[in-house]
Amino acid sequence: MFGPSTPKRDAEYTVFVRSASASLTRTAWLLTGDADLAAELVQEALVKTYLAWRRVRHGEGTAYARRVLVNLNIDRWRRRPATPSEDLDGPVAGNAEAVIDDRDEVVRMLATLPPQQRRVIVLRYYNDLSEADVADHLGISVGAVKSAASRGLATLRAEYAPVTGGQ
Amino acid sequence: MNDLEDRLRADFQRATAGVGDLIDAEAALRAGQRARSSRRIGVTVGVTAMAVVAGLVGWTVLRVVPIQGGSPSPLETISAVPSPPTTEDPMSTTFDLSTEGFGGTGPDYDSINFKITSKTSRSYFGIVTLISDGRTKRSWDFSVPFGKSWSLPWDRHLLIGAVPGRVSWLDIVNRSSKGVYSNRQVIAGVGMTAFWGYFEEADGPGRSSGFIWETVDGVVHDSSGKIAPSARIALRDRNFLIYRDEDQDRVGIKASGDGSSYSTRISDSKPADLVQGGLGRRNDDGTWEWTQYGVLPPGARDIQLELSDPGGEWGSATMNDGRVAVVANSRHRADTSDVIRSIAYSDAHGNVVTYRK
Repeated sequence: MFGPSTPKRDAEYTVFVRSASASLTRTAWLLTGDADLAAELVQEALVKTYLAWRRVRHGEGTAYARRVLVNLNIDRWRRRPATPSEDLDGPVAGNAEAVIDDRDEVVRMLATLPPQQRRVIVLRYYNDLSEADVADHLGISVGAVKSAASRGLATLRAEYAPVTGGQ
Repeated sequence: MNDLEDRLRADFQRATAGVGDLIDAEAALRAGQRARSSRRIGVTVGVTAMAVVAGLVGWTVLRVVPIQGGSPSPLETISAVPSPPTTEDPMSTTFDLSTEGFGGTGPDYDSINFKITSKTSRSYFGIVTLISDGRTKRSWDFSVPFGKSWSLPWDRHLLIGAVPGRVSWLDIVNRSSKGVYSNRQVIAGVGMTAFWGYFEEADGPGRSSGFIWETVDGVVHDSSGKIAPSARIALRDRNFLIYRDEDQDRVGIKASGDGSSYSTRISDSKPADLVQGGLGRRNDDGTWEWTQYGVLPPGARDIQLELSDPGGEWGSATMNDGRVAVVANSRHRADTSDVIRSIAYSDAHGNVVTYRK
């Protein structure tokens, strides 16, 4: 073996994963709109969280992992090409994991937002974080959070209007 | 607070309600442990490569004790968790073999790349490339029908393959007398898991009957993708997965924690064999743990086991083909491989069947 056994810490980490992975997966899905990518991001965030587990304060595992997750997603936005590959067709019928369900209108609308606005909207209104916490997660100022939220909401309001009007 | 914000909150909850939690906590733990180990390996390699190899083997292999008084069964190694992706191309994944710690003569390439290059309405097409010092040594075109698994014995040592979706565990069936190094990674852009197995023994891939894999929702499949009957048994502090794969002639076990696994031929796993020997492993704290497992015929009930170690524990569970999986586990006994002293059960006809050591 490569190190001292840490069964207690590992047990705590396992309990944490069980309690937090659903929320993290859903956050990642809203941020990416892609189930496969979301799962990959969550796995990557969990590994990084495990490596830092000794330093994570009790009860703050989810916040720590979510912060890692959001920043991984930021990295991905920065590094990823706009389209995966021109060689490939669109989503395949029946590949339900990889496509956004038609019913998920809000996710479709989210995808129209610039990445920063999308992250702010998800953290603010899905994760119910305060503006200060969103700023802390993203490493930006509270003013920048307010601005991104305001612009994101304005876009979504415009997107919602036709939907509402048709009902 | 306004109507739009309230609506957003409600719509987010509704939209995410159907998003499944695909994360297996134990797999996440193993991935973290592996990442931590990899860091240490990186530091240690420069000091003594042999020590790292020994450590790796010790981590991934269940030490095998003769079960029927014959020679030891073949070792089977696993690499239970995917290594971190080393590429940003979502249609490609590259395995870095430099951290695998091959013992003896390893491969003459240092990485393997799987790349999906195109697809039709029915299949993905791609290319697997063996790379050495950044240069292509050999490559092979492949195609995989959607939702199907695929594998190829590349040469006398290497087996490559892919399965649909994500897996929580994949084990290569090894019939050779030496070990197998293996690993797997997800090709994110197509939701496919690519894997390789490097057999220490030449012609190992040709003698392998394939591989066994478990999806993140806990379903066990054989090489062809067919579901293999399985059952999970939770003991006090360790969980076991036991499967029976008729097509590949294997009865196998996977332990939680370090993800160790072992399998044997169906003919070598009769109920009477339960009172013969066991599988041993040395834990982090230096204690030994012995495990014996088997599968009873469909309809077996009223199962009673007498264990050699009074502090040991056992459990049983019905598999999805009606057979009954049994596992017993004992700790702190380095001096004997005996786990089960006797077993008794009632068969489907109500007859009591007993085996004693």
